Amino acid sequence: MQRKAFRFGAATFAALVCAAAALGEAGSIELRARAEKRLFVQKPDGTAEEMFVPAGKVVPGDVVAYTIEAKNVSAANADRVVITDPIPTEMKYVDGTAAAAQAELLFSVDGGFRFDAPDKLTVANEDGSRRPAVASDYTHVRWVFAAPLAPAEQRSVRFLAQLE
Amino acid sequence: MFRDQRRRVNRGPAYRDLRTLACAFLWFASSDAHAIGTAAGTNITNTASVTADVGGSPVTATSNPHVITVAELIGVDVTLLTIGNVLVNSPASGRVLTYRVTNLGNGIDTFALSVNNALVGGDVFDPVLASVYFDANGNGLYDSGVDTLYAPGTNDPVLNANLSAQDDVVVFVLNDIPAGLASGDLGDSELLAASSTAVAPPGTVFVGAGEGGADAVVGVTGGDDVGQGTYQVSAVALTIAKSSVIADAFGGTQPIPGATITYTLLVTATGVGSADATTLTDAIPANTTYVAGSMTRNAALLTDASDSPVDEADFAVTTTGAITIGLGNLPAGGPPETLTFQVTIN
Repeated sequence: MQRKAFRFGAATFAALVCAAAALGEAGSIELRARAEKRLFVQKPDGTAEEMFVPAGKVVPGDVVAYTIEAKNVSAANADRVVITDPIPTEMKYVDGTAAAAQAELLFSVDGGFRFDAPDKLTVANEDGSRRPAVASDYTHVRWVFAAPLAPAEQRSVRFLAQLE
Repeated sequence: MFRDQRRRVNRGPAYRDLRTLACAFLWFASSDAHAIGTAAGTNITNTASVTADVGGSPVTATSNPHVITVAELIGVDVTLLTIGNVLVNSPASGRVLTYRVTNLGNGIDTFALSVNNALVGGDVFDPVLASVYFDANGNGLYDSGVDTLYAPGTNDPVLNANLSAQDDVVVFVLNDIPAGLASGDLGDSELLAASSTAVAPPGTVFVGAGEGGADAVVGVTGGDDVGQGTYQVSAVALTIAKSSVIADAFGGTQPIPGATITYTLLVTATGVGSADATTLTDAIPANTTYVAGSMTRNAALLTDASDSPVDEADFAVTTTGAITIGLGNLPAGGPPETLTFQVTIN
């Protein structure tokens, strides 16, 4: 129950941030998100080819690729670029799909409250002890870029999640 | 697919579903430990955010919110619950096959049921459909006069995949067995459940046909499924072999007054199935007198009084002038029952 409260709070917070950004620093960095559904198309030789199509409708079991593109539309370098995306509650992160060049990958297991490297995250067992976190525990994924984002430069990150 | 496996496989996601309850608008849909998946019509919104320092000032931005709608997954499973072949006589009426029909989708769907007894190959005879019932009292057994008669198109089962108490229904198919069949003959019967939303190849999308106007997507079973049960004609024959041994008072075997006759009866069930509630009655021959306390079954002494449950045998109580021995259920192919009693010649 505690975790749900975190998540709900985070969403509300994001909405407020959105409003603030529109008033203040609007336009320095553009962020675009899109989602595509994974399909396997059988080729004549019998092998299956992976394809991604715009995810309008999905059913349980579908794998969705979330892609976030960040573009610096200001005249100055953007330092310490950090992109954060919540993993939808109804979905489960597909392990090993979020890696991006030049970025440190962090996850949260508490609704975006704290972020850490995967090997440092733990979650509570029912008896109060703690176990290492696994992919299905993640609530948010975060990319921390070491290199600055130059004016007009664009970077994209991506992860896969499966609908339950 | 076996239902139990499915349930195990999905236990994890179900627990995650419980967490979904934080979003108040999903209260109605996600409270189920047996849910197959995210409920049809759910909107999944995703908004990414970025922070950076631009020109020395902190900057925050959010992406466009991306919305995905969960379509209704169409799927149904029919599983025969009856274990093994149903043993029947020829003719017989209203013999029951029990099935479970389960909504494997993620919404509320209505399923039409039909029975197909005209199966080609693999069986000898076609059972004749009598009627189909729903398990009204939930005991898993057909109860005449209690369970609900199925009328196609009128009370097709509505199964809610998101509520464990309502995602399946137990169905009883009652078939009649024709006359004149031979022991061991097999007759197959099939129950088909078809989604009223969509029956089509897996992956077919029906735009707007799903729950609440969502699209419907046909799952791996193609929107329908069949289960099959088998009747087996069971003819049990009882054979009784009777023999006697005479012992006269002089150590001989002459049938003279006062001599004792020991009768031995071997009762054997042959064929297929079981001879249930078998009772043997044998009249004491004229001009002889029953020797009190002389009945045995498989070498164990039986009492003459009608004193069930001490034993199921009596002399001259159930039938005047005869012994009566209850043998219970005799499975075909089982060991013979050996019964003995004695009389003296008057």
